Amino acid sequence: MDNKKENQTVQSSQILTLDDDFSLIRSFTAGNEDAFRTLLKRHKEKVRNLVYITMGKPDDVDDITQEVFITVFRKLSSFRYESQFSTWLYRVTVNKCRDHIRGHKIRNFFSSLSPENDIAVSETHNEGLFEVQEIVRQSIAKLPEKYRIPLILRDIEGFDYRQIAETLETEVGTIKSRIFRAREALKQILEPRKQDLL
Amino acid sequence: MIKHHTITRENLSAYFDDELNAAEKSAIEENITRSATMRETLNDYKNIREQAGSIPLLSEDVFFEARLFEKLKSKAQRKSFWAGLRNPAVAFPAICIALIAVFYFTTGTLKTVVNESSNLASTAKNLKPLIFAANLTKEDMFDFAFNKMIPVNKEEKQFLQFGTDKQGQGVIEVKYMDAGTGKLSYKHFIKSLNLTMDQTKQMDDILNKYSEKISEVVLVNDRNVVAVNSMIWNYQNQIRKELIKYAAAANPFVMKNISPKMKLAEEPIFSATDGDAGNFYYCFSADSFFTARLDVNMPEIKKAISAHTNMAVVKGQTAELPRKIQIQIKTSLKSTHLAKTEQKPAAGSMQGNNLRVIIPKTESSKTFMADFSAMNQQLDEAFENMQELYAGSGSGSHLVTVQSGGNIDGIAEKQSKTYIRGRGHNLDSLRARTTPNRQFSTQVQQIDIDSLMQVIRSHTDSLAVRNPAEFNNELKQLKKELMDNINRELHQFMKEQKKEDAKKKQIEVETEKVDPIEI
Repeated sequence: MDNKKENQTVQSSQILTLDDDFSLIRSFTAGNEDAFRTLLKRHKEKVRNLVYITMGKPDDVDDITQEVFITVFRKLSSFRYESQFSTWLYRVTVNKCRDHIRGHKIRNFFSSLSPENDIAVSETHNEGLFEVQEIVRQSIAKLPEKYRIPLILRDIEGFDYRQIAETLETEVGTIKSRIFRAREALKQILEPRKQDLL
Repeated sequence: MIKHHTITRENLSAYFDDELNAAEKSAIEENITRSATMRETLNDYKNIREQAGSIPLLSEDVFFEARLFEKLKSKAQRKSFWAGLRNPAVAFPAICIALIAVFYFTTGTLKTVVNESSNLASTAKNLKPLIFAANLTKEDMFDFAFNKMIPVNKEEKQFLQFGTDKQGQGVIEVKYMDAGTGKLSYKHFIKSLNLTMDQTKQMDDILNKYSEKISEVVLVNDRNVVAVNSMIWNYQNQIRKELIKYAAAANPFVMKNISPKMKLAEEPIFSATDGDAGNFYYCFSADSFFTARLDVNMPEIKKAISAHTNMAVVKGQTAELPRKIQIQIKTSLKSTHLAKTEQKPAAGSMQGNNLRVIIPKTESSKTFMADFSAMNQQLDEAFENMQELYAGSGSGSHLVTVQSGGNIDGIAEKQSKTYIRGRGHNLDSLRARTTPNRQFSTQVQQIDIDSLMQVIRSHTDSLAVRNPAEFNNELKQLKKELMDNINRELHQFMKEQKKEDAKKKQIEVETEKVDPIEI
């Protein structure tokens, strides 16, 4: 009996949370701009930090986060209530990060001949070399994007495989495989620094 | 086997994430119990998650919300302007009308600009400073300052003449003429001022300094395009002023006679950069006129000039070494407009072989200039005064008489033929001015030949230092001409006196011859 009550409380709490985001979205769609402000306050720091970890540096965080919420502001009226708002929000965030990573790759291709660029990279690489957390952050940043994002969503954001699959619009099995490969790759990258991690 | 092994390890990762079903979970736990490697791997996953979870995150950005809404607001404003065009029923007719309007009003203009721009891009190529093209000397710079002309092509006798019209608009004329047609030459100027060698050198330095500056504001190329910056007028005034100011300080006595009204030594020399007209150039050739923004790389030019000068010094031929250095000047013809310029449009016209370009009046820097337009006239008068000064300097053993107000044109003519010829003064004209009834006896002045020669010696002192042989020859010539003139004047005077005496005698005789009237 007690368990039933507990389950009901948990369920109602989850419903309340979901309903809370959903009701804010409905309120915003009805013309209440303050509802968007509430959503923004609730999720902006999560989004900023997801962008920061995904991009591997703080340079573009502000721009990308702004782009994310501008997109949310524009497309919120077309939200279909089929998944959690946070999942949808993270999907938008990950897509924006991907766009920037692609753009950055193109820029890097053209600027790779510049010797100044090499110096800047090496200096960045040396910064905080002895900080274990920084080593891990830099190692994650070195992972290919398709492995990096699922691992971040799992180990840092605490998403389960289903949520990650929804966010990245892919299969759970794929996510399972990518997270495993990400961990194996990370182990290899960190192997020389294994003593520091322990 | 490999696949099975991979799946097992993949399941270990999923087991770590609590993503396995009960059966899978049970199986993997069995493996973990038996395998130390799997336990180690599991431990690695745990470490990674712990470290990743403790990566320092960004601190909260309290202004993010404000910035975001500001951006949303600005985007909304832009969106509202174009919102109507999202409706195809509105957008299509609007775009059609806009296109028709654009093509109706600007087809001709666009065509002209595109054609002209492509033509101009080629005509304005390879522009280089005039100093390299025309090998400007200090005499050229002096001509530019006082006679307002500068050579473009010495071989072809082609000159640029600068001036202003009655409305104060700048006028540039491309003319074909002989060098030295200006009234006042640098050599004459130096001689008139009786400057020493050191003073002359300083004058040279002033002119050389400006020849570098002129290289920035007058550009030419092998396609007969001349590009002129309106700063040219400022530089012209500045050179004149600096030279005259220096001359006034070097020889105030002569300058006072040359120009009694000027108080040049007290006037400040303005900086030409005060009125910098930027990189805006008036470009013209025989058949085209346009304006353009030209980026002149002055450090590169100065470097080239310095290198050239050093080379010339090594070869010992500073003046003779031709400047064949070419400096590419970037031409930004994107900002070129044929009809509409930032300033008022200029106009060009052909008059025979001469091209005349009228430049709109530009706001130049403040100038505290004396009236230099009367400069040549004043110098002419000064030369007359100089002769009078020499004529009235004391008494001596050799007494001769000259007419008051006269001058020794023979000497002056030798010193500067062009100058005197330009004025048309010579002994004949002087004689024509003298009336037969003048009382010569009252106008006769005494001059001391020795004193006069001393003055002449002092006057030509700088030449004596510079070139003793030329000086001696010139002095001999002057002496000879002076004596000839004096003898001629004396002869003429004696002749006139004899005539007067003869007349008087004749009158007396006639008076005596007249019979008394009988009453």
